[in-house]
Amino acid sequence: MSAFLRLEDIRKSYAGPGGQTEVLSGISLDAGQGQTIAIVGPSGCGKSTLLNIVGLLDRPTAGKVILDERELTALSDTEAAKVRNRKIGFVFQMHHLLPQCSVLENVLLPTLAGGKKLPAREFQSRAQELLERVGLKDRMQHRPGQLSAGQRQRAAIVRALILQPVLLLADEPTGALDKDNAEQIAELIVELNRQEKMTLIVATHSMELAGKMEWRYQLTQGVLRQSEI
Amino acid sequence: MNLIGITKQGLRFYWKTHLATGLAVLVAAAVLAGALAVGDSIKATLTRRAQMRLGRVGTAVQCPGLFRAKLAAELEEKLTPQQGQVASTNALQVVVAPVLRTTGFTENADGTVRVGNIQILGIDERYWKLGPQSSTRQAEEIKEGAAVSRALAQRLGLKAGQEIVVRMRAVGGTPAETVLTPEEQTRVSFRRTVARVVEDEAFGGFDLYSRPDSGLNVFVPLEELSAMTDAEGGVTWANMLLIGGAVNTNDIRQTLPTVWQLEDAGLELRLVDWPRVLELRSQGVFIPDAITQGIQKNVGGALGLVTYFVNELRCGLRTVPYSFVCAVDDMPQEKSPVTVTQEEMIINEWLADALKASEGDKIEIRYFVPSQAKKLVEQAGTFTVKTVIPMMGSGADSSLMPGYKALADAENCRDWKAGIPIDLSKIRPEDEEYWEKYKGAPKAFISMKAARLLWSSRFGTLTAIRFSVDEYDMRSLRAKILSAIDPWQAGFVVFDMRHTAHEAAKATTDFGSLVTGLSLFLIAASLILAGLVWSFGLRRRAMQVGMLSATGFTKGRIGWVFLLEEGPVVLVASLLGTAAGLVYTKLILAGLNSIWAGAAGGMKMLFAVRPQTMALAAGISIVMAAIVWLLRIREFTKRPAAQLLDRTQEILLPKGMVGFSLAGAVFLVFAAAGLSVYGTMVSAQAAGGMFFGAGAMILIAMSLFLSAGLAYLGVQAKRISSSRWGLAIKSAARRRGRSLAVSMTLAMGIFVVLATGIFQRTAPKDPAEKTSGTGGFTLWAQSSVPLVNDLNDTRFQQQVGIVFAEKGDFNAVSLRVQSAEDASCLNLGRAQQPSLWGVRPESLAGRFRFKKVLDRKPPANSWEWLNLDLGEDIVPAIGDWATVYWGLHKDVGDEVDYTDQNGRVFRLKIVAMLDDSILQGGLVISEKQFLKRFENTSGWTVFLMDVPVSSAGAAGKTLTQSLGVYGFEVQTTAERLTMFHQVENTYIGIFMVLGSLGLVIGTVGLGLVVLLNAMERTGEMAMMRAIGYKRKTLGLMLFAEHAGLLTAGLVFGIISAAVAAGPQLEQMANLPWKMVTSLTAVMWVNGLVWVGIAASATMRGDLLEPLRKE
Ligand SMILES: Nc1ncnc2c1ncn2[C@@H]1O[C@H](COP(=O)(O)OP(=O)(O)O)[C@@H](O)[C@H]1O
Ligand SMILES: [Mg+2]
Repeated sequence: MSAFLRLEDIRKSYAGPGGQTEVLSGISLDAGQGQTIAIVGPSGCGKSTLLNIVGLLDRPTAGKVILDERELTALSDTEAAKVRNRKIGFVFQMHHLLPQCSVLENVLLPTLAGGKKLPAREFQSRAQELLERVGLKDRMQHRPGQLSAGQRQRAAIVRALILQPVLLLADEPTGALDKDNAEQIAELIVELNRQEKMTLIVATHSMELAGKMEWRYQLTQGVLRQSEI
Repeated sequence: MNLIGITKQGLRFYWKTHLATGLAVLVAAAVLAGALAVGDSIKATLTRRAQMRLGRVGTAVQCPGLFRAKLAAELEEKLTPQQGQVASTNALQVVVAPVLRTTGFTENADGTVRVGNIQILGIDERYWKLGPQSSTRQAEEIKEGAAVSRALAQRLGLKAGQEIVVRMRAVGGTPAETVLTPEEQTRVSFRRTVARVVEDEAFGGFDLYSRPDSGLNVFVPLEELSAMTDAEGGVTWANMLLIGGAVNTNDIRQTLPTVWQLEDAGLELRLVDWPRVLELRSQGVFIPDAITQGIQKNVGGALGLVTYFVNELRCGLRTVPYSFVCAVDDMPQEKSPVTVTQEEMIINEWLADALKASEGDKIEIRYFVPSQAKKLVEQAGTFTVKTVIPMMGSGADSSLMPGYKALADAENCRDWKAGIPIDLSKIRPEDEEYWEKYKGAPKAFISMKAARLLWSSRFGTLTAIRFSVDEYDMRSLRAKILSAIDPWQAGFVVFDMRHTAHEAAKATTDFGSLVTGLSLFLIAASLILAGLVWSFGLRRRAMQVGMLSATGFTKGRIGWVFLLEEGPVVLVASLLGTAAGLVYTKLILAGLNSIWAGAAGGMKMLFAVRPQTMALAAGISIVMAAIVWLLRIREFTKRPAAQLLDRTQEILLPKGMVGFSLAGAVFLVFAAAGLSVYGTMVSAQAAGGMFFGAGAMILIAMSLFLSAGLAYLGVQAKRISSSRWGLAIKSAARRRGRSLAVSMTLAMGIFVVLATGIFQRTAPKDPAEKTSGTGGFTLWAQSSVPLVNDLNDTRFQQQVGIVFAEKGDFNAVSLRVQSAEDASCLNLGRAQQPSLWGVRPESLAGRFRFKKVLDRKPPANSWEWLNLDLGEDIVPAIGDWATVYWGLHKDVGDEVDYTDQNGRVFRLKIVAMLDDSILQGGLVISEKQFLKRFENTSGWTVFLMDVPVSSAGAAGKTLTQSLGVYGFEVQTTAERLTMFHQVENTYIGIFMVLGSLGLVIGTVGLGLVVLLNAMERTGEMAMMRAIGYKRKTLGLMLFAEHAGLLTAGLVFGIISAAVAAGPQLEQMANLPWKMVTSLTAVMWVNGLVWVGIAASATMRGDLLEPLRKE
């Protein structure tokens, strides 16, 4: 049986001033269900690029992303959108919460993405439950502008988890936070992974966060190497 | 929680952005709706005008001569459906009103105000029934005195109860231009108290023709006006029938001949006592040839004859003055008919004695050419005496004398009131005796063939047709003749006024499109502004797009999310804008009613808007705004989400685009150059358009250059020096589209204002310049009563007391006029049948400037085009370009259908067009063709005069005074041209005002862009401050960046406009330079102020604070 998530020889290059520069030069990776993986490396090494490709936010120059025996890289835009919506959760360095909506509404946003209506009540209670779990129970009706940086990021994490994704991608989730907040968020992510059982890939240059993952990979010169620490 | 909920919150949260875009869309919608509504209003104005002008008249019947007013009642009875057939609702009731119409001019009692070109209408109570709002009240009130239309009262400054003097062209009787008609008989005048001023609603403004000063009417009871004609008394005469009700022109065509009588053709059938014959005569002396032909073809035994007045009969040295000579095919009353050949003559004994002439002698007759008016061209013919007949029978038959009233009624030769100078000294006692004894019995007889050559004219050939009493009695002959001829031969013409009214209500220029065209720039500017705000709004939310994408929203659905939010804004803004457009309409109409009155020919504009138009405007606005919005949002949704999520991502232009822009720009520059060169090779006028095109191309080229330049600067980061200004340029390059949009809006604004300003018209510097629009004439005159004399005739000048300061320099070209619709730019309504001017082409040789001629080998003198033979029914015509192109919507080579006086349809083919001339409003044809089509027209009404510029004023004065009885109105050609120019200049004025408004929007947009850019860069500016830049420095950099864009835009606009001006560069003097420079300066300073305010506000941070907070 093949792995739950499989990356096959992913390549990505960009047009630069001096011709094409390859950012990812053949990345392959297998991950099982519920596994936690950290991708570390210095800024500019291509972590975000890789995560965006895995999360179907960008297309690789070559190579395949296979999730649950489905080749994601071959999907049409609409199908890709559906996969993003139902299978994948994203946490960014920036929270990207809609400033005009309340925390609860922001969290429920993914339920509106599909054409078909999802059972609102069910997700409503899940949202409330998740928000309670991340300690935002009494902040649900607040606007993002009224929250602290850490609270915003927690809301963003809940938004990523609302539709019970099988894959959670987190790109520098603690990058914009102070040390205490960063630690709390790291704990939270690990904890949530334990409860929700989704595969988790975290891109970070924080060794602390990386240390909490079962697997660690180093991204250098466009290739992935298993990391010791 | 649903999309609608999110939408609501979005609307609330981003209300400022929405307000800004909403306002921009609102302005665009308002301008569009306003422009279309102006079109509606003008159409409504024209329709109402046509309704007022024609009332309920559906058909009009016109006749050059007079007919019995009773004909109206007879026709009405025949046309009215029998009882029971049709419900007798008022609307369907047939009304036939007899009208006696003539033209002239009027003065107030003290002669201080004179109004020319008015209609004098003899009417009875039936006329009022045809009014737009029928009423018979007026009828009673003008039983005494006269009534005048509101328009005329206004022009005269007149109130009911005051007196007016009316001078008018005489109608009926002998045509004014026939030689023996006394000149005084061609005019009639009367003085009346104005009993009432008739409003347009009550049919005061009746006019058959659509023209700017229509409906200047004086109403007089029909019977009274009829009595003023020199037609037979005891009968009421009319010359027009106005018909309303459920009948069409075909009904009338069929019914009229059944009630029509000989009297209605101006014919009279009488029994001559001696010799006993039945004789047909015409009130106009000459029987029209069409009628003669009809009778000769269908009525047996018709004997035609013509008796003409000769100045002199001469045989050797002996002469006999002022006599009648008769022509006839068979000598009447002779037992053995004597026939003469074309060269032979039969004389009576008296003449033989007086001239001592006998058989074989040669006799010369001298006579005036019958229809050369008072130009009095004398011709001669020589005949050989065949026989001498005794003073009995035909030899002394005074019944052969034609019905010249002025002669026939005279007791004595000295009482003759002939229209020619009679040299009394020539009349000897013998002549007096002859007159007493034999009256006007012809002294000589010639053949009909000879007479036809000598005396035939457009008015006809015969003076009488005789029938034998043995063959006919009065009744049978009358019936026979009536069946042989019809009203159409007698010049009756039926006009379908409903169709005419419908056509006249169409605007000459589709004002809606025109104003829309003029407003297009404003609309574009507002939409660009809306696009900018949207771009900005979306850019702020680009990461939201990315995030939505990441959570699984498809592109389409993301579009929906934003559309749900933006849709209501666009919708509401478009609807509000459409409503606001009504205000814009009112403003434009107010302008057209006041400062821009020139464009509307002084017509008062109604405010009338159709709901469909508003719906259309709203619809178009919504669609336009939606397209702009879609283009904007597409820019975001088409990008990979990853890019949108990265705050620092700059979207850089691929290098290829730079090359593409450059190539495009270079191509356009070459194309513009080519167009300009080609433009100068073809006509000067074509060059105008081409240079305008070239200017526009240069403008686009420059925008591409700017685009490429900015792109280049943006890409070539290394090349940028580390100076602050370099940094500013680089900043401008960051949002290339935004910078371009602003710069180009400003450039376009200045371009529009300058390039149209150049086309402002001015009068030629020297009106005496023959190839200018004045044709070298310095004076233009128009008479309300046609002049039948030659203005160049010094004898006539002396007679009426015209004295010129500088002798010998006067030359007048007289034009015959068939007055109809005015097709000049002064008339907003579209003309179908414009007025026609008949002129001898050679008299205009080398005059005026031609804009376009028929694509054939041109004659040396372009006016000779008028002599072109195009076949029987096609008449070559020359018109002013503006009249032909805008007024008639025709071009050289096109044809205009025309109905002549006898109802015959012919076609006018435009063979050439004049450039910017005083001959606007009508079409010029040759006098020869004119008289062929309008044989009943007498005299000249338009005069082009050569007078030295220095003495033009004095000459105008003496002409106006001396020819006052004709209602002679003199205008300098420069004034006339200026009057026409005013219309065009007003359009240009409107254009310039709208262009300036666009500029204002452009500068507002610029201010907005400063704010947007500053906002986008808050982070980096904070950073720059952190690394030591002073606030002031940053502010200055922001200012420099945008001031640069502003200046570039203005400079580009000015350069393009200069290119567009091209050959008109000499006309640059025309430009209201003060206005243009001050406008440019004001725009520049205004822009700088906006930029300054925005920059300093940004630097203080207070203005941006609320926006930045999210
Ligand atoms: N749109 C782009 N065009 C060109 N180069 C890019 C683009 N996006 C990223 N890169 C390059 O790819 C490399 C990796 O970027 P990224 O994945 O954002 O790094 P990380 O997330 O590891 O800091 C960087 O060196 C960057 O220069
Ligand atoms: Mg990154």
